[in-house]
Amino acid sequence: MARVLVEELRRKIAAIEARPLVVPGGAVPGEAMRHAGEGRSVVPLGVPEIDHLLGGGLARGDLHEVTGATPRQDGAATGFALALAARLMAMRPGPLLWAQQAMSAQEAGAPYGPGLSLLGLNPGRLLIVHSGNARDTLWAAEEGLSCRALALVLAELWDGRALSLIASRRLRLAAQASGVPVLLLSGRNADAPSAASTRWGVAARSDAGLSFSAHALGRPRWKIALDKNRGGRLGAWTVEWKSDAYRFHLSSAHSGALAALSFDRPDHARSAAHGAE
Amino acid sequence: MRDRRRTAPNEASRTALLVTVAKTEKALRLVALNKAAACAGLTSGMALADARAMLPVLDVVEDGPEADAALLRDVAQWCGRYTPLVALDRPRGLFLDICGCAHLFGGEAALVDDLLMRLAGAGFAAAAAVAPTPGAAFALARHGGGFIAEDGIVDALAPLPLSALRLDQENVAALDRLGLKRIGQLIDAPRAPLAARLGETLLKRFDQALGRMAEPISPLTPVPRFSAERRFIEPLALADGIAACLKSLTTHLAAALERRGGGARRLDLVLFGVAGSRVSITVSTSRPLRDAGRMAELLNERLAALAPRADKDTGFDVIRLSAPVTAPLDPVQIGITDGSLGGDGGSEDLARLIDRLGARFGLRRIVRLSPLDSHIPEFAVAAVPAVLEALRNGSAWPEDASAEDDDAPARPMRLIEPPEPVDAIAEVPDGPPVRFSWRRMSYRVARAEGPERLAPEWWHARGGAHLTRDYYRVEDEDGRRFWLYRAGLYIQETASPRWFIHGIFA
Repeated sequence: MARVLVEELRRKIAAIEARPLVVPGGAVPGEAMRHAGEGRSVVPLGVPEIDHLLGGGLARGDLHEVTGATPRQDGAATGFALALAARLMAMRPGPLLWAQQAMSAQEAGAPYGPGLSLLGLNPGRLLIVHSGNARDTLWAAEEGLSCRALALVLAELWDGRALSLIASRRLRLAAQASGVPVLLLSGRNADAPSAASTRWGVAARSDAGLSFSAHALGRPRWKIALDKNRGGRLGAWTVEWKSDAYRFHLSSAHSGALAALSFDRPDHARSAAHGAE
Repeated sequence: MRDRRRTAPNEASRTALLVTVAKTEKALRLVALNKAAACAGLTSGMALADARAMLPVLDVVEDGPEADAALLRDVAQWCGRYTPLVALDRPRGLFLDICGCAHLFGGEAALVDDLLMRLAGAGFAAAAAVAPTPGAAFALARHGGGFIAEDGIVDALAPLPLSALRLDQENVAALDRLGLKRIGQLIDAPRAPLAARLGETLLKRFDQALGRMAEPISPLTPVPRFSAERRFIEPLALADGIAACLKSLTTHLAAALERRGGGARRLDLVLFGVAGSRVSITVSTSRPLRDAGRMAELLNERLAALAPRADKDTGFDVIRLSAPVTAPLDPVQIGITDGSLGGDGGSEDLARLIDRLGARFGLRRIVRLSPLDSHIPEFAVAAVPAVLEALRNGSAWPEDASAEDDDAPARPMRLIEPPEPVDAIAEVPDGPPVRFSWRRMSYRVARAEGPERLAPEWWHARGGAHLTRDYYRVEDEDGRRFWLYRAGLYIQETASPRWFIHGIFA
């Protein structure tokens, strides 16, 4: 009797937290699996190691934050966010709303159609809205999240300080209500408080050795650290983006999962130490 | 028709003697004066020296015709609360066509009283007359004001001086020499000799005043075909009340649009405050719009943004909504396309989103990217206002343009426009850079691809794009990737080529 009660409670909690039900001590019972699948749809990144930690993939109607792992990594963070966007858009019809603070376009560069196209993101499906301050950008993003016809919303803030915990929670709730995913490029510190379901610290990753040949650069490559994961453990990997297949690939043996000390709270010291390796 | 005259453009106090002066015929002459100055015996056109001799305490202000004109325009727009047909009669008059409007205010007399009272409250000395023709109203407003019935024009105008006919000084003086002083004297005078001696203007003005020749007034703003308005005895101050009013106005407008098979592309909302303020809102839509609920939603959005500036204490008593720009829109059964019956639900949602964003930021801040036929990177793409059609139909972008298997993308995802100069060091003048500094940070290049040589489009005379560019995709030691170019071929085009950064790669 008590056992049934406990299971029932577990199921409720899992539903509230919108994550798969994990039963201690082994396999997930079939019934629990069915419940966990309800109302939660995920987009796998295509890398089993990462998808496993995410409980199958990125939750669709949710907030995911991408930041630069260190200062001056805006390019890498944008690149990874756009790769995620391209993958999400490959799985879902409709346009992408890119809500951008006008300062970002001026300082970090405006979205450039031919380049986006080469990353696998069809510029024809792009809708860009420029706003003067971060508050307006967040407003536009939230407005976009109420429109189910969108494939996803990408909110880019120049002034990440405007993003309070409450503001990020609003975005998350709006995403959950409509099922439209939202990616947040906040350009702020990786340890700022956030309601995001996952947060990724991204840095550019280079190979050793100099080269000035015609094919020196190769595919886009980033060192990504899963700094926050509502559903489970953290990790860090080096991935390549294969834009013609909309897929990520692990590219280095250094990648691996990091155990979080507590289940729900990421250990910042650990992940920061890993990022600095 | 009515005409109003402003006598003092800048009335600081009613008791001080105040005049404005302008330099004419080598002397400073009075242009306008307030009531106190007029009572003291001054007249307009008098030399300032004479006036000063009579009244040493005179306050003198320089005449400002432009400021006067702007003020007159403001007053004209404010008069929009009475009728949408308001025309300027420079330099200091206005014509209001109140046909069919007077009953809203309880008759012509009540309308004029209301107008004069409000203007007096705002510090204007004004006079008004109501007449069947603009000419007659002009004459009467300057000579006592009042009302002229349809058949009473001749009687009313006969005793007035000829200067009331909107004639220039020369004409009036010439008529004076002929012994003609009153309008009544012209009525039976032989027309041909008068026309021969004094020109056509005299008779034209005379005929217009008497209604023998039609005289249309040209309103300040064109009158929209679709318009709805509400007037309130008790001013509306609360946001809820205004929202309710908007709902009823948009319902009316939508019904009118539906009957004509049109949809609004632009909506103008004007709120007239009791205290003389005027709030005007314009909303453009991404496609013809006829859904009352959505119109109200868009307008409320803008109103909310204005809220702090609104006239909270006194409120608004006239609210007018019009659709000055419309486009054909086939009748639809509202409600069916909206729902989940398949078909067009998604684009309906999208149109709503674009409109809501447009209402807040302006439609031109919502753009999509459209490819252009140019190999110069900054001209290869244009940001164009998002129009729904294009989004729905996909676009002219190639369907599958992803990078070749193992190669880095040849174009950056972000373009820095205009390109920013960087200090770059190359091993040889025409080689790739080995080091560069941008925004006071220095980067050491570890890898580079290039050059990709882009020649200027010599057939276009575009500024800045007249040098050949050698583009390099470079990666610094930390793996950051940039798009740099050298402007100008070494030796052939320039002796010391400059470097620019043009984009950021993923």
